[in-house]
Amino acid sequence: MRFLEPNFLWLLPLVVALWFWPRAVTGRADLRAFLLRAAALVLVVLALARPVVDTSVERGDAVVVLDASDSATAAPVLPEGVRDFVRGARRAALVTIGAVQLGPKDAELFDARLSFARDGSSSPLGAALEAAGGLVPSGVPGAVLLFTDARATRSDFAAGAQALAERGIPTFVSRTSATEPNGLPLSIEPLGTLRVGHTGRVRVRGLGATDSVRLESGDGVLAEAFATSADGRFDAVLEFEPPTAGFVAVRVVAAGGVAEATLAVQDPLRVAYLGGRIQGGGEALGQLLGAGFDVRTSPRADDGSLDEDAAGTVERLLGDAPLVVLDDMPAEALPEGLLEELAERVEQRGTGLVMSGGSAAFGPGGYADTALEAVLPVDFVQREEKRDPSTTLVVIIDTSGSMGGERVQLAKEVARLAIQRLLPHDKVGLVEFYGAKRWAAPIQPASNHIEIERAINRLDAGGGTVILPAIEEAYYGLQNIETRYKHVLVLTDGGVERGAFEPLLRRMADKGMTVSTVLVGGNLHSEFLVDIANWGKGRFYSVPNRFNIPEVLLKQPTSAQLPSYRTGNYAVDARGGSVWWGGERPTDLPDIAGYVESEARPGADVTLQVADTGQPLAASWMWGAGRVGAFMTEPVGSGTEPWSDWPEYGRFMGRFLARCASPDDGPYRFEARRQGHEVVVLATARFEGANANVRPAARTSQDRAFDFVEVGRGIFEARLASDPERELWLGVGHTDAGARMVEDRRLVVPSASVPEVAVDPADQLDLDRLAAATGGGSLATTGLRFGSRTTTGAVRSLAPLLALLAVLLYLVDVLLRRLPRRAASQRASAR
Amino acid sequence: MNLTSLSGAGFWLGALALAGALFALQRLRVRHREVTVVTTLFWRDALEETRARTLMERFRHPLAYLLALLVALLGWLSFGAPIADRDDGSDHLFVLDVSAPMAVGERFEEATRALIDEVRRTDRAHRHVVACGSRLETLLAPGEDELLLEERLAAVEPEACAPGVERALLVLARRAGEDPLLVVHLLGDAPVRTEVLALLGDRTRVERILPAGSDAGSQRVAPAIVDVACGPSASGLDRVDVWARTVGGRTDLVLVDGADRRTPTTVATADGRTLFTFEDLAGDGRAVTVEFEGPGAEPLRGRAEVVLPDRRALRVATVADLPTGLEMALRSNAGVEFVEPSRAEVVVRYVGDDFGGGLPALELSTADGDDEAFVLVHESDAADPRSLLFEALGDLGLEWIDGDELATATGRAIELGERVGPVRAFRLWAELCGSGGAFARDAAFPLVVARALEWLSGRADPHWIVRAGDPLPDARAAFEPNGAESTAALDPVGGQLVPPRAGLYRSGDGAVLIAAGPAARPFDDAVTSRDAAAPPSSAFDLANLLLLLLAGLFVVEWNLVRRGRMP
Repeated sequence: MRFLEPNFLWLLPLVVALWFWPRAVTGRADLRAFLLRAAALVLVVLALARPVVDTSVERGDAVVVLDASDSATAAPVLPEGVRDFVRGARRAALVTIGAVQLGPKDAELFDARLSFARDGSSSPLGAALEAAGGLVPSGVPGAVLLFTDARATRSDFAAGAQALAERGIPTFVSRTSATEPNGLPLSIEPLGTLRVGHTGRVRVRGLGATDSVRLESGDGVLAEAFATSADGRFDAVLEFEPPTAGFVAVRVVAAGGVAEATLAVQDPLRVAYLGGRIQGGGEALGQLLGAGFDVRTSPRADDGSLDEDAAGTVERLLGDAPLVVLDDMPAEALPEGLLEELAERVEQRGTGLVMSGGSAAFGPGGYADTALEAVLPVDFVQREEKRDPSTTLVVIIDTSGSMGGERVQLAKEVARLAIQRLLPHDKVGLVEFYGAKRWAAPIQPASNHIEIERAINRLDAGGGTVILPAIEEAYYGLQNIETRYKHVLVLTDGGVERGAFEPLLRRMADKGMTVSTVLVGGNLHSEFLVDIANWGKGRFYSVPNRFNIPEVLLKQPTSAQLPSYRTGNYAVDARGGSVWWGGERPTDLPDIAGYVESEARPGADVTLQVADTGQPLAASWMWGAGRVGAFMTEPVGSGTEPWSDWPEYGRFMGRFLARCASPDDGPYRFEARRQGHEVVVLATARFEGANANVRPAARTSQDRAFDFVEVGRGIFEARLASDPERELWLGVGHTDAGARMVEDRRLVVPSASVPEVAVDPADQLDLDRLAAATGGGSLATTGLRFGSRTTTGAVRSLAPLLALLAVLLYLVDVLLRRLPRRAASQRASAR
Repeated sequence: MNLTSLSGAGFWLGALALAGALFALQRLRVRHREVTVVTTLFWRDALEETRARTLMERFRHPLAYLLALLVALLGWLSFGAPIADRDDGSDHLFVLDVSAPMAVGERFEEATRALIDEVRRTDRAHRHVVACGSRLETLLAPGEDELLLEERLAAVEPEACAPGVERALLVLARRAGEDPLLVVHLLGDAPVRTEVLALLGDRTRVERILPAGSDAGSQRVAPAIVDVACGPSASGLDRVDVWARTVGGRTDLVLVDGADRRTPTTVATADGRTLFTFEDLAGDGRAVTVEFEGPGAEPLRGRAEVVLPDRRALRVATVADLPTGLEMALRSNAGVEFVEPSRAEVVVRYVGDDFGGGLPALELSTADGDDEAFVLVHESDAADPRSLLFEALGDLGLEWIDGDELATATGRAIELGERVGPVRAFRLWAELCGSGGAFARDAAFPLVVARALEWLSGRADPHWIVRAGDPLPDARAAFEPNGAESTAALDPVGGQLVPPRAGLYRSGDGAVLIAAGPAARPFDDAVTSRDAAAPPSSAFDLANLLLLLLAGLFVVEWNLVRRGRMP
């Protein structure tokens, strides 16, 4: 026992004053009266001190939960055993879901009542469980008796069940019967992103069986599909093309009912188009792809005149576009650094990139050895052919007197060797100078061996050495000759006159004519001849004797790359998994009219290939965080002209581009979930540095903004209170430089509540686990009892009892005082 | 005025009985007769002998009777334990916030004192007091004596959990049109948003009681860890970063990793919160602690533990003679570490081998043995097969496979099936996996193998944010608390799993968690506040006044009796 107001106990000594006041007690009667009165006063003083005793609670509190919501087939009736148990409880509370009508006797059982969803609009079983546990006072044993069909419009049972288990409040369950709908759609779940103009898929699941399901919107029937039914459930995937962007209300009709939902349909896929060779390629591609793509072109891109000045334009064009298309755009036409930027965007940000085109793309477009070459899923292949370029050789032989004897013969030998190297398509001419100049053999095909040999044989030494007019003659002779190389070979002993050689030779060099010099016999070096060779961009040779005749290099056989863009009709095969074709893979694709040769790199997904060569026509692969595609012909050019009759071409192209595009719009990836009465939105930066200048933003359709806080680097969280019974439409995006919101995406946060008759049994409350976790059991098989986890006892006040005792003492006092007493004589006689 | 230990009828019946008894006693008075005595020596004896034996006499001395009756009725009324009638026609719900922010300073004690005072002012039949922390708990049911409140409050203290007042209101305070007005009295700082108030309906009025002399309603925020998050690190696939968010302005948070105390790599403050970044930790599933350096590192607010995500390479054991294509795909996977079966998480074997025992397995079957080229083996026969297969197409990347090519190459239809088995497995034809196998040449092959291993391992994604009161991503898993804090298993019983309060929990697969206390005011409060009324003089309530009056009358009547004024 303890006193709540112990200060009153200080009054107790004053009770002794009654002995003396108003006069001292004498005699037995006075003593008796004093004792009675003092005792009564002591009791009152004790009562004033508020004595209480802690008593253990033998009986607990019972909470009965009655679920009479829509899915229950009948209102629950309390069994007699339950009534008895409730009557024996310390206190009893009733928690009802839906409209519950209790008889008067049952209603009297309960001290408190709490009702949920009396209009039957929902079945918040989780909240009812939480309330049931909450109604059992702290420290008091309790028991929860749950009558339910276990179906709830919200599956938020955890908190209530956890509390019951932690507090040791046994829960006894009784499963009531529930309606079993047949052919009723339960859920409409978008599979991936739904985007206007793109084929989207929704999955419909339901209870029972139905032959088909139909997806409808305000615009009419969007799709219809057969459903597979088994084990009391049906399942169907419907494909449709959302006609409009925005929040689209749809309903699914099945044999047994209707389900409604709102789908978030995203805006057309933004495509940044950089095109060069094909005029109006961006617009044409946009028309080919249809309403599902927003192809944005740079005003200067189509002109093929992108340069450094256009860098800003391109940067704005790229923005946060999830896909960049480089179509027939020569690498050299792009601003400096853009290729590196594109490669970085693909690798780090996950931006999709598709290169397409013909003669201005891939290898022919000059992308070899650029930052994009490694990124592409194809190796550039360019076949080569060896070429021997045509040459015209004019041999100028010094036949002056100084060349007499062996020297002229040596010069003839050198000339012969040089001419022998020429091929039939080459040409050759012979000029001799001996004070004057003369064409010993005019320029003619090198195949005229006999004529040329005769001309050489006719040469003989004599006369002066005047070389300049001879070279001039050769220059004019070569003017009208059409060969790849034009070469003049001067054979002399070096004893030539000086003159204005340099201007002539440099003019010849400018016109592609080279002049080489050969010093014949005697000296090994002639500074003059070396100068002539240098000015003529030729070579200097020295032929001291017939044993040291050099090989005069007039030309090098070269290998030339053939154009890798091959024109002609080529059959095409479809390849790849269902993701590329949206179903059956076609087998009769039209031919193409040209393509860029390439080889698929290991790991690349080839979607189209040239039938004969197996070379890829459309291929893609993952590069870092993004997907890169290669379309080896012009999507809207001559290469695909035959496909204009292929009705599925636009869809295929759209699917190919969409697969390569980043699945995310904007710099953040958003995830929204319901958490009780809150909507929690989590924004994760998609790439490093995404949050440096822009922050995530979100607002509801009623323009309520979310306040994001950073909870980790690049991870932001925002919470908003929202009615869990209603779905919430959100626009999510990022802030721009002016802190205004740029919406990147729409989200629908579904209502946490579904019509109870449409609750998936798989999502219902697990009654057996609940009973086991709380130490309860089934009402039908388990004896009812209260939990024993008492941490504090009940408190009982003794003050009323003490007051009653004081009154009784007073009555005794009065009685003794008033009761007639026997006379002394009688008392004496009795003695 | 209401009586708490007597019914109205009982009181009046008792009062009538007392009045009757006293009336009878009043009439017991003897009748005097005149006797003449010769000397006063016999005065006393004469008195005795002349006393009449009359039982009843006429009722006299009504004032004395009234005094006796008053004394007796006061005592009887005190026995009835009267309380003042405070019924104002409304129901009153008192919600005491016992979440982590209430642990700051004297906030909780101030709130409980104000609660007791306020409860005394309300009608006991129409008041309900609940504590709201990680769960709802009644502290005083309607009709219960407020003495119980003090007793029960003694066992209540702030918990390491987020404020749940909004949830409590939505559970207990929604009223329909015909219900009496419910006045909700909030004690504590937990804010309530406008949207929540709107959901309660117009028959509910919410007010916050500010304890006298406290600053609980101010914007004072004591230093506390709000939450802890972790995620992949840029420094490597097997590394993680940890972020801790605090309020209160302290910048001395450290990460305790065994004997190592790490200071944050970066500290950034925005919106009144400070974000600490601890970079480049090994993601190996061990527990680390973040705490304030020095004072204030108490578990409730200044210290939080978190189990780092396990991002080590997947430990795989394989049989020796795998098809070359599969072997190459495994070897080229940087996320795979080859280990002995005893250390493995996943094994790769042929169907029928006992290699790896009961571990999840990537199993190679034969085209003759299995009709389907790909088979998912799952443990539970309760799983919806259609859902399982449908999800497998995406989860395992099977939709990227060129099925026509495989069918052409093998001369068999390529199908996906499911089985129920004792352990999770993914089977595929060994014929597809040789170096020349059609599947092994498919670009999707490494993707499917990698995703299959991931699916088999059952590794959860790294949990980004761990916070008491938020649902765990793996809602169906049962968690066992590690420690003496609670002995009950967290069991979602079909719903989301929400760790109710901070603490260290471990799941079956070794992942997770938990963090800490929430911010004091994460969002704007829409509740109007009022100061707590001055505490009533508890010593002089109605019952005590009656008792004091009774005591006084006892004394007065004693005086009268002793002076012979009371017949």
